[in-house]
Amino acid sequence: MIPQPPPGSPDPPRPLVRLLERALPRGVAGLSMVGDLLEEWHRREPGTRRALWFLVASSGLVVRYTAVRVAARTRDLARAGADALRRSLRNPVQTGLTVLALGLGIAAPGTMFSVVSGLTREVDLEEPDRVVHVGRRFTPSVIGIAPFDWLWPGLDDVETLEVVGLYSRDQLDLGGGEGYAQRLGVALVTPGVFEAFGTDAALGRTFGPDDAGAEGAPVVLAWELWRSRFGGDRAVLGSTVRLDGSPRTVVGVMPEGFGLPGGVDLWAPLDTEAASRADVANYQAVARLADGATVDGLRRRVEALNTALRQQGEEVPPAGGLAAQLWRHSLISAEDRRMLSVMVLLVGFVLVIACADVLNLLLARALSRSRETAVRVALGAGRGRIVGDHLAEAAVLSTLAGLVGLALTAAAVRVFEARTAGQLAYWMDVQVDLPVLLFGAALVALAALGTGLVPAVQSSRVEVGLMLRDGGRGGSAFRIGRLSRGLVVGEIALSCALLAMAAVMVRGAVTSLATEGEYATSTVLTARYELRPASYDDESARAFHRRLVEELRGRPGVAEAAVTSHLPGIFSARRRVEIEGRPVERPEDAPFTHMVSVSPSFLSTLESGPLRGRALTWDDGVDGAGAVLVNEAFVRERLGDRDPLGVRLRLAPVGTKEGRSSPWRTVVGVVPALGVGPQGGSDRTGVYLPVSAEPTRRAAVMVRAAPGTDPLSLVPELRDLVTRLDADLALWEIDTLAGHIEAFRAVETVFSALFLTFGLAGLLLAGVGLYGLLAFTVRKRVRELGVRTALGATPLRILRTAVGGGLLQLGLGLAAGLGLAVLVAPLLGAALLGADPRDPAVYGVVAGVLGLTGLVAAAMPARRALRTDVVEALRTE
Amino acid sequence: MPTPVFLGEFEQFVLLSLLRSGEAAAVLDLRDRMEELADRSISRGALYRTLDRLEEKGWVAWEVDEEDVPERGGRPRRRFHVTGEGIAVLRASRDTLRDLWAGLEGLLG
Repeated sequence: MIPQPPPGSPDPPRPLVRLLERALPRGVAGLSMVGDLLEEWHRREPGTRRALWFLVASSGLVVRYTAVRVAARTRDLARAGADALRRSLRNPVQTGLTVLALGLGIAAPGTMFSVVSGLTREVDLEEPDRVVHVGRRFTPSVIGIAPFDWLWPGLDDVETLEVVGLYSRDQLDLGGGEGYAQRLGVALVTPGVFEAFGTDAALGRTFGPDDAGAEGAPVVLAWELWRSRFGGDRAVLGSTVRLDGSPRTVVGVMPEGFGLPGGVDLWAPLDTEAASRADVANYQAVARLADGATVDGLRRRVEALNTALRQQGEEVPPAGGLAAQLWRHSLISAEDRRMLSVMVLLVGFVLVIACADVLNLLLARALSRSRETAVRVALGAGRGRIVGDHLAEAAVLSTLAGLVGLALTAAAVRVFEARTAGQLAYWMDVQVDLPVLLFGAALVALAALGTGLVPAVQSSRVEVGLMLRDGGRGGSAFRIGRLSRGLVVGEIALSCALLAMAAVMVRGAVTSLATEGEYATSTVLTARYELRPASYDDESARAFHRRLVEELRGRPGVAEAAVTSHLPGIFSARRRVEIEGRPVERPEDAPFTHMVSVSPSFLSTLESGPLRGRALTWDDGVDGAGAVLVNEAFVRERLGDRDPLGVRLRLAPVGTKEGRSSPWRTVVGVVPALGVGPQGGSDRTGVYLPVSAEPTRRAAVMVRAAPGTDPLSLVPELRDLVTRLDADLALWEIDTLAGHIEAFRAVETVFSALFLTFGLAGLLLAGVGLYGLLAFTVRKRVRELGVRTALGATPLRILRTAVGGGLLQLGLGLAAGLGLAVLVAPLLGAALLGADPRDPAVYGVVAGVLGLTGLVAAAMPARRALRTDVVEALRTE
Repeated sequence: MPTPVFLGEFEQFVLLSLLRSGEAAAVLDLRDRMEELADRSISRGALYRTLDRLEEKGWVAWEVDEEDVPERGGRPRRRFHVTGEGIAVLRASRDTLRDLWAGLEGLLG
């Protein structure tokens, strides 16, 4: 009989009491505590105070016993972890391999995440959501330089903008003081630029409205330039430096780390008067939104500006006028961002593959321990306990793997940094930082759950009776066969997809890196220079180039020297070319070709020579004596194989100014392929003009070292010579030609190398997975194989029994993986470096490689199956 | 010389209060007595946890009260008593303390 409380004095609310019972220890102890509380409750006067007392008293008890329980749980977990660690260490090889596999799986996305978060790092801006960029829209996602009168004074009237700054970017030579002249990234800016970025000078001042066009116009230095060139001396303020030959006064130094609008070493005032008269469309704007104004509001105003420009007769294309975006979005486009995320995701496949491997291993281990588990369950171990033990094992392995992954990531990041040094924007900073560590921790947790949960749950479901009867043979108490096979198919599919995409990237990189034609690269020292338009006319530029080459040629250690407008293997400008006897109706119909101005020794410096005709001389090109060289591709594609020697060409003039025409020039020689145009581009045709005909201002000097001389050892001599010829002239990008060509594609190459590494890691892991599964199958079925052999099964039959399934999984995985790659690869866009994302040849190679790996993985288990010793097998328990 | 035994102050307090109750004591009565002796309020949780610990060490034991108290809604009531081992520990602790005090009368008064 249930005792009733005295009438007139109700118990505390039932749900509260029930909650209390749940929170306190089970059994008599807990029940008696609740009883004590109730007894005390009834001793007290009814009322609010009693209710309050009950709440306080009971919650005090709950808190204390919850703490006790948590402490006990933690102890249990720690014990399970220690057990798992001890068990793992008992089999160091297997544990080591597992940790390595998972570590690779963690390192792959970890590295890619570090790289991507480094590349997409935000520039430090004050109120970044108010700083906007306005320029001309070139593609839906690229906004860049615009004509001056598009931007000004139109933008000045936009009331949603608090302040507007205009800038154009340039590179100029800093001379004066000690040492060689130095090439600088320069921004010509209006005062509004600094205001819009919300940054003031750290020392001295920035510009005011009267600075532009003033005598000895002021300049502001970047902190890093101030430290490196001026030793961080404050006396630099007010001193004079020479910028492209003219004296300028240093008035300020910007704070450390500030280089906006991007890679700027020095700021000079932009003369808006002069800019509005100039013929170049080289301007952009940065502005600060007024309080409460939005980018969308600004966009509407910018559209109105476009309309006004059209009404004034400007040629503003419908989808390509002025456009505005947040400044931080101008640094990396939304598409690139998406592509980078896709990369992280794809590389995450490696982790999935590794997890599948380890999951299969842990399943097998759980299976081999199922008898032990059954005994423990029979002895009363709870399901939670069994699950906890397995999870602890997975957690221990994953944590160890996390450490391995961290080390691998740090190493990979260091390689990435070294390979891309100087090729990334200054704010991009690839390193293992807190976000990367957090990402890694999340990966570890994922790996632990991904590898531990299934074996844990599976083994906690063990059917004790069956297991103990069955004795753990054949694994009939566990239904893991189908799961394992499915996992292996998935692994093969993912690694196939990953590898296919990596292969496409590599193909793109190889195509774009392949030097077209054969010429000297590693023995040739190159450096760029630019003759100041203000100091050099055609005549003096011609003289400078010639003097430089001639002074170099006689020196010891120098085999040959030349100057060129464009270095081979990197990039050349294209111009339209008119061919005599092939009239076009409009100038726009003339075909394009690459145009390079070279000194006569260009060919010999590259250890090349004309295939037909002759090389150029210094006399060519001066006053109408027009001679040019064309390359083989030009003969093939532009001349239709007609005899090139004597053909006359006319190159479209540079610039848009009317009234200039270019003379007819005669082809005097044919040269082999020497790497014109961007690598991987389709147009390989090129015309070589004597540098005396169009004395380029932006040039590169090439010096081929004599045999036995390190080309880089010629650098001081080259610098001294140039300084002697012109003290204000800087040499920059000083490296061997081979180094230049490599650096030109460094970022892309590193990306494809990373991808290839991860793809191969995936391949290896998938191979191991397949091997593991087949080996396990053969081991478990050794008795059956023995019986079959005893009954006279043919070797073929045995093979089919043992590894036939594996080949089926291989086939299924390959098909699924190639399908996946076909779907996903196009998302990588630009990262593929122009390679066809669905290149059948590449896919074929990948399928072949994976198939081969699969066969190798199957071979050992197959051998073992064939060699099954009947007597031995039948004796196996 | 026997190993010195140091009982926690609160543990000692609980054990001694239990002994003073004369017979097996219910927790509510024990707590009332302790609050009376100490002239301060005793935390319910601390008392239960101390009893748990003393029980684990084997120094106290309890049995379920036969008496039926309707207010408890059918929940059992435990009555605690000090075990023989508990008494031995108390004695050992007292001896240890006595040894430590010995000879310090001049200093401590």
